[in-house]
Amino acid sequence: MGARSRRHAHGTRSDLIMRILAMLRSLWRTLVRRGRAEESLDDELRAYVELLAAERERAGMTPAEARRRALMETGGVEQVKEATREAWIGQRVATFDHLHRVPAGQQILQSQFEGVSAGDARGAVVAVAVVGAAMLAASWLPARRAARLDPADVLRCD
Amino acid sequence: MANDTPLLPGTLDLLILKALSLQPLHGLGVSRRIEQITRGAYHVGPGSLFPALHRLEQRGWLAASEGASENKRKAKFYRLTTAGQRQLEKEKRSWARVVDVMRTALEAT
Repeated sequence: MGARSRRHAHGTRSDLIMRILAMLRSLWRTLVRRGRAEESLDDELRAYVELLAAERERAGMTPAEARRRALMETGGVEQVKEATREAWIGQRVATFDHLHRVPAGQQILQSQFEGVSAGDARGAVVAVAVVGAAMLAASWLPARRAARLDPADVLRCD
Repeated sequence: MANDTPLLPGTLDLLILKALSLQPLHGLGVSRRIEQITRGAYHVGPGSLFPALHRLEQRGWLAASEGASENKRKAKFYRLTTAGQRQLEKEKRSWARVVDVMRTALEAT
């Protein structure tokens, strides 16, 4: 029983880690490798239509008729793509690119940083990552130095 | 999405996990396998299939890789991860419980 529940706990913990990794990978793909993600979605839907057409051809349709029917059955390819993008983590942040709701703030920001727009999600993510990394370094390095000191040395008052 | 049997919320994800528990499949393959295992009761169109596949991949329950389809074209194949396998078992159990409870409730006199 003990071994079993331990194994179970290990399973859920590794699931959680896997899930976080999968989320980060998706976030990276949605925000940074956007072009690749779009290309892959294109390929995926194209393959879907072609496989559907191949099925119809096997059922005896001419290639042209099979393709026409496959496209019709798929419905709007653009709509399918849009619905699929909605499932991407970080999609809402990415579409923030298209929202320009704070023209005044945007102008100030754009005047400060060349080549970065206020609605630029990538810029925002990079900025948060840089600040986060700096924060971690700024707390971890001194903490490590402090931990290396011998408490007896610190207490000895010369 | 369904012909005549209504698809309850959450069932599509469960059906996809089940369809992929047997072997890796591409999008159309998943759709066809679901038709097969539900004996034609459910036809899953691309408008609900692809969002669900991508959502499950993001949760880490499915992994995707490129493979060759039956007509020798490259296609994106999905397979169940170990986390996905565990999720399937979990959802199967809770589904069985729901069915049990509902049957008992509806047959109560």
